[in-house]
Amino acid sequence: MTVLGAVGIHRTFHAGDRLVQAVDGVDLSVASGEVVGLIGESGCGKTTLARIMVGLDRPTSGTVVLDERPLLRPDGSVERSQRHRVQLVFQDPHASFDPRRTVGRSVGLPLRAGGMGRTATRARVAELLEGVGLDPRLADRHPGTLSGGQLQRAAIARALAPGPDVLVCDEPVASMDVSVRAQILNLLLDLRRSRGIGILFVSHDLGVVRRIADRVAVMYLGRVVETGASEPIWRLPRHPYTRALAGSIPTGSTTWRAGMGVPRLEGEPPSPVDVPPGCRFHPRCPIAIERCRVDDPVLRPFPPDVQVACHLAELATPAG
Amino acid sequence: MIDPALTGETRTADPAALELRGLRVRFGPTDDTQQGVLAVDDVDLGVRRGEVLAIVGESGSGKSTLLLAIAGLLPRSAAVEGEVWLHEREIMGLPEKERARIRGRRVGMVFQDPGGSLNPVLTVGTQIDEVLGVHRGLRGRAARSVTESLLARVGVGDPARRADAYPHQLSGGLRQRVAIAAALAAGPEVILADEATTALDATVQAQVLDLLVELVANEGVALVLVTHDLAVAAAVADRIAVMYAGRIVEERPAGELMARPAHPYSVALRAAALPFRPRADGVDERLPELPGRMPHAGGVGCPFAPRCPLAVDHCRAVIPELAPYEMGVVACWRAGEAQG
Amino acid sequence: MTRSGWIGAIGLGVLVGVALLAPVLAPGDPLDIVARALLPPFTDPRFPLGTDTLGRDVLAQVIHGARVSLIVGIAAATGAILVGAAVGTLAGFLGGRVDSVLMRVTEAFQTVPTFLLALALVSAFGASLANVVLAIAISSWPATARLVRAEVLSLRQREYVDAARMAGLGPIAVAFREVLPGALQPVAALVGITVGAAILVESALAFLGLSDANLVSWGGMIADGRSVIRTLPSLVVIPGVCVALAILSVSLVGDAAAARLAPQRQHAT
Repeated sequence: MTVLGAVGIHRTFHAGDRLVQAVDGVDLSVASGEVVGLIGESGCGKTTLARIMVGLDRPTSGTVVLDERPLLRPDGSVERSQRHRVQLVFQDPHASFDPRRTVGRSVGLPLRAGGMGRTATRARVAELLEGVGLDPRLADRHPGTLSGGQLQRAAIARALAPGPDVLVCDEPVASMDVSVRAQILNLLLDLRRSRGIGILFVSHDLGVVRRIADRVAVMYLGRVVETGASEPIWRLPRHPYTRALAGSIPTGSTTWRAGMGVPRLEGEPPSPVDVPPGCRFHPRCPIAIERCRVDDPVLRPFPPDVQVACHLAELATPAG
Repeated sequence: MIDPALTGETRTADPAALELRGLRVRFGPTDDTQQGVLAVDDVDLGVRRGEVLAIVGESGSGKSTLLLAIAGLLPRSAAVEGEVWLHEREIMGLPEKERARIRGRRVGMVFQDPGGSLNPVLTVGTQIDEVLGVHRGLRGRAARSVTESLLARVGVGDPARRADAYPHQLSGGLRQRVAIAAALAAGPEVILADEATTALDATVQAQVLDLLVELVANEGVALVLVTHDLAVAAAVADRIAVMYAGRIVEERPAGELMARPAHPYSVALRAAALPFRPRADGVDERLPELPGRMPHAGGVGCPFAPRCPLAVDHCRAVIPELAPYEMGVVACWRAGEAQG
Repeated sequence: MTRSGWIGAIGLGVLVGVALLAPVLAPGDPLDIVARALLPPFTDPRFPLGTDTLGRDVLAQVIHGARVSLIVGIAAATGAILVGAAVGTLAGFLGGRVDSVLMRVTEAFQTVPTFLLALALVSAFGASLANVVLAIAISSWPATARLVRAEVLSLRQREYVDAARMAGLGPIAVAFREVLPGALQPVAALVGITVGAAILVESALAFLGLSDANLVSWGGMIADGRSVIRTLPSLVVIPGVCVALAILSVSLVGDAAAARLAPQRQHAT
């Protein structure tokens, strides 16, 4: 069983003369055969964390481990022998393919980089495209001539080409119509089932994450504020932010305008340039008390298998 | 009888604030398409003041084109036919200048990307002042005080200071509030919102949806909300119109449509939109898929037939017209037979 | 290809053809005195464009001058673009200290006007054709470097570049195989300008008598004709028009090439 893990990840950027704490001490793991949903709003650090976990960005401190061995070399690049084991699926397939190259060349790039010959690569690319439900003849087309759904399938084929154990998917269905979205999500679920691939699914869309994730981690301003098995969290979101997030998602019910549901959060997530003292959520928190302004909460375990960073997590009651 | 102009509030007797009859939009021939493309095909719709009508569809359904046609924002290559009634006047038959004046006064538009509809080099206050100057003859201090009250009404805190901000200095949610204030400035009866909350974060989207619903209730405007997200439509709309291949295929009260969608396409959309269905233990529940692609408008037979699980020969031969069905209308030969 | 692209291609084709066929079209040394001096154009069928102040055939000089202009233009631009693309790619892709150092060097070269730098180099090392080419190349690579760097800076953030890194390509392979080709589109337009500028600088050096004295150059012809500009302006006008047409042709072709390199954007409908 393979496990990709992030341990104590910090990532700081310089913005002029100020420091931006994009990721501020996060632990996260994905095991093979598991779908982990990483949720948060823009600027919460989820994409930075995902990029670090695949070696596209280096942490300021902390390590990424694969099967308990460091994945990254001291210079921040991925160990060559391990590179193929963790792959990334990007959000916008039209951006993640070189517009000048055929789809087949891009999908085959990991194979060519690994030393596979031209003919063997062509045959393997055809197999890979068929494996994600695409006509292998699309290999000769340019990315601009494929639909978003087709190209995202090709992107998944490219990620599968090196034979990874873990796929990190960064908002892979964010810009897609619902019918296409379902096809892509089903494809990911099939991969998990048929090949035992572990999936880290980064998304702002709680509805999607709730449908496909076994475990979730909710991020706010660079920290994980609630994490654990998916169903218990949605049954009883203990962090007020998770609760508000769940209450913000239209569920298909028509009771919204009748004024039902959870009180709205005021304002918007602050910029990670000025992280509030104490609990970083307290300025928007509907239940914050004096302690929250000064005392930064750490993740505490709650049964069953949930961790919450909130002083008032005990007060949560099951959603109606 | 009381003059409606004096009370300004005759909700029940109010005629439609906006009504479309047989609206058709065709884009002119290009290199790719020799005959041009029919984007909107024979749409009838009406919305009253104080009412939210959501138009739901996927990309290519023609929903945004329909909205732009109402707003008069389509390029010249688009041919618009049919009637658009605003404020009890048919405007498509009017001279272009007159039409633009009525639209500017009676219709406000909110786009998906507020950054795109606000001018980056002018303060947001100046931009709203300008609208007030053109449509309500307000200038200088008078305009600014109305601008500030508009900003306050859309929930922008500290409006006097924020009016002096440039768009890039505001967060995405605040920019969208400013765009809504600008859309309200001329005092319109109809607000057209094109995916107005799609680009926003979940918690901010909820705030802006609340604001729109509140404005409809308090200001008595009619809101036409175009969205790809049936769940968003269900949350805020009184009535939902589902568009497919340029046509309305079902239009019914939101509660009815969500509880018992009658058109097989509405059924498929609802299955994809409902997010919170717990999975059975240990088994992946496959998400309902809708294979195939949406055709262009204007083919033979029902445009949904090639993807429809219920399609019979008749569906492929004869296009169904909208017919009354449980408090609304549905265009389907087998309406109500699909199981969700 | 656009109509202006075709016009440029025809112009460039004529230029190349004339340069290649010079020994056939105008056999012998164009610097030989063949007739009486200052013969006006269109008066003697053997010398259609007349003769210059020393009685040399103007047409033969124009034909051989095309060779010099083309050699200098292409060689200098090639050098400038190779150096500029390499420096720009490394600076933009590697960033950090490498970028700072390379960009300071680039700016140092750029603060000296191209022509002055070329003038200084040729004065110091002698007026041979090779030195002229070298001088022009050295003084014109910074523009390419800055352009490529700017392109690379925006391209290296692209997701498809990240995708290539995920595929396991090393940083140098990513920089030169994934990023640089995307940056070449604006460079293609710059090639036209650089070739044109090189032709112009060579002409100017020749005008000042600082190009290879044993070769005919359009700039040198202008310099020679200057003294008789009132009596026989064609001696200045003819080579001047040649310079202008050559520069126009290469820049039109450069623009057309840049348009061709732009990625296909036909989306599925």
